[in-house]
Amino acid sequence: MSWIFHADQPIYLQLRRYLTEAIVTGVYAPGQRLPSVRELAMEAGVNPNTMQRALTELEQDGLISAQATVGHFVTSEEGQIRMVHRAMAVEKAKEFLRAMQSIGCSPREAIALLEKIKEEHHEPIGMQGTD
Amino acid sequence: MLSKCLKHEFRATYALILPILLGVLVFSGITGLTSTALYSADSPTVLEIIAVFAQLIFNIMVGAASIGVTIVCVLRYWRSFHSDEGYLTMTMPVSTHTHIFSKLIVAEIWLLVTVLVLYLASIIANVGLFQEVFSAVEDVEMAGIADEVVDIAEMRQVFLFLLLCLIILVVSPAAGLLQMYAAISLGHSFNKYKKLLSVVFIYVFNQVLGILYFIPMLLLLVKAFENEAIFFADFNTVMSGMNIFMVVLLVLSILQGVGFYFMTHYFLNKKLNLQ
Amino acid sequence: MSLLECRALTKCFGPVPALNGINLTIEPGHIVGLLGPNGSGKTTLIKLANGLLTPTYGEILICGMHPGVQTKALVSYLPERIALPERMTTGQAVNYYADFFPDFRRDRAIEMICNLGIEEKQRIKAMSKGTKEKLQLILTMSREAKLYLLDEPIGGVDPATRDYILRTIINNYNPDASVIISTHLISDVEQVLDEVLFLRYGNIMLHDSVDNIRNEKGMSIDALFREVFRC
Repeated sequence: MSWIFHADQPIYLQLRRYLTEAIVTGVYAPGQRLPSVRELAMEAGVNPNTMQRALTELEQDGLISAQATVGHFVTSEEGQIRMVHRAMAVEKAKEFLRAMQSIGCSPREAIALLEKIKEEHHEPIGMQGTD
Repeated sequence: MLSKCLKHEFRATYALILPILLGVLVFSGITGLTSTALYSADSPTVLEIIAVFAQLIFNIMVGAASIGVTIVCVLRYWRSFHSDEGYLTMTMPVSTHTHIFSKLIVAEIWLLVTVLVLYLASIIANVGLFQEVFSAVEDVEMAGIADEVVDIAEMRQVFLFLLLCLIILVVSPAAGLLQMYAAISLGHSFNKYKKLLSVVFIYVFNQVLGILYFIPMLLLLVKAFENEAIFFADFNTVMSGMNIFMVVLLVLSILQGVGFYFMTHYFLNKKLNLQ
Repeated sequence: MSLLECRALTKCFGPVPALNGINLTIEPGHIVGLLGPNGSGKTTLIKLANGLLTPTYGEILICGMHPGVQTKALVSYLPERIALPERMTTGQAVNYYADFFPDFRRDRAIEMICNLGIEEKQRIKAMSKGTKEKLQLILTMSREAKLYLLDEPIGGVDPATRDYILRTIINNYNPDASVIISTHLISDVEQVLDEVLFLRYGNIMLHDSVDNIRNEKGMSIDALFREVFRC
């Protein structure tokens, strides 16, 4: 029912990440109106104040804007979204490299491994293959 | 709010009380029918035996009905305030005074209705006897007594007596109910043995009140008989004497009612102790 | 004005204080967790707010008023036990609430009752425990109260019902009102809370926002509770 949260981080920060991902992957399109705070809170299974705080953070990140009495809108500034997307991708890549490092693979080895896997599968991992 | 409470009280109790009253009435009809057999010379013995049993059972039913109705009313009080329902009842925006009054008024009405119904049922059940009595009334004696009381001035005391009887008939059950409510709420203010203590207190209050009634009445009686003239008093003086007793009885009943009302209110408000 | 204010609130049963000079303020717009082991005073605090108990010392104020008929109209209480009259049917219970609580929203109640498939003509006595609890919760949350006091609302129910109950609490959120949830099942309820109160032996050990606690202590409320109240 509700989204999964980790114990060690405030929930509003985790909500911020979930919503950022949703915007960046197009679940909420640029310029689209987001559901109300209450609806989002219900979907996520969290306190509306917490959700409001997350949305405030997103406003500060420049990803959404609040219009009084109407609601929250995803920014139409696609450049901004792309920037955030890139920042997230960089973060995930760094995470990957850190993870590989922890099992003893250097960044070069990690990149070579990625190339090899990409060739073997011809397509990005995760989509249905023909073989 | 009081009217809403009253409405709900009636709804909560009628399904238990009306069948009792109806049952007694129906059985009184049966008893009455069979009773005619007792007063005619040529009825079969079997019928007479049935009629006697019917009378017996009817009497038991009358006792059971009055006890039953009282129990229904008392249980209703307990359930509303001292069972788990109390968590809802006592958090409603209704004053404790209103709560107590709604229970009291409805119980009082049911008790008075029960008295009337049982009275009526008793007449019906003894239809045979009444037939016998009426057919024998050709008394000169009755006319004699009628002469004595025909004086309007003297009727006053009789009317007063009847009026006082009526008032006491209304006040006394209410005082008795409040006494039981107080005993229950007092018993439940303890942490353990709540129901047991409630029953104990019902008994204790009964005994104590019996004494508290007895003493003034006894004193009155002694005072009355101090004056030797009492043995030669006329009807009117006797009636006024009885009326004094009735007034004292009424005052005692009112004190009883008021006293137990405030006790009930205190324990419901301050010592509710729901667990 | 604060919804709930306690000033040196003390309640003694015999010589032992169940609540020991509590000072507390709850503002509107919050969902507060009232947490603590058995005997910590949670239920006592709730009953004092309800008017079911009277303070031994100190005072408790609901919207600035002492508990009484007026505050009972502002407070919606969900007891741990089933307090619904068992002889009533669902429909009669709805009418009962509508009669006595001016802020009761009948349409909301009926909508939720239909959603959960509770039958209007079924007698409460004949319902399963879970259904009774759902009905009682629906009736409690259908009121437009200022303060909701929920005593173990998700204690004995299955996970799906638990979700429904928590969603209902979120959906009912009103910036002018607050909800106080007293519970043992902290991890289930934690995401719905924005403030928590830890009670122990009648004293407040902690009153803080959930975000602060996670930030400062780096752990969930559930984990903090286990640490603080370790046996």
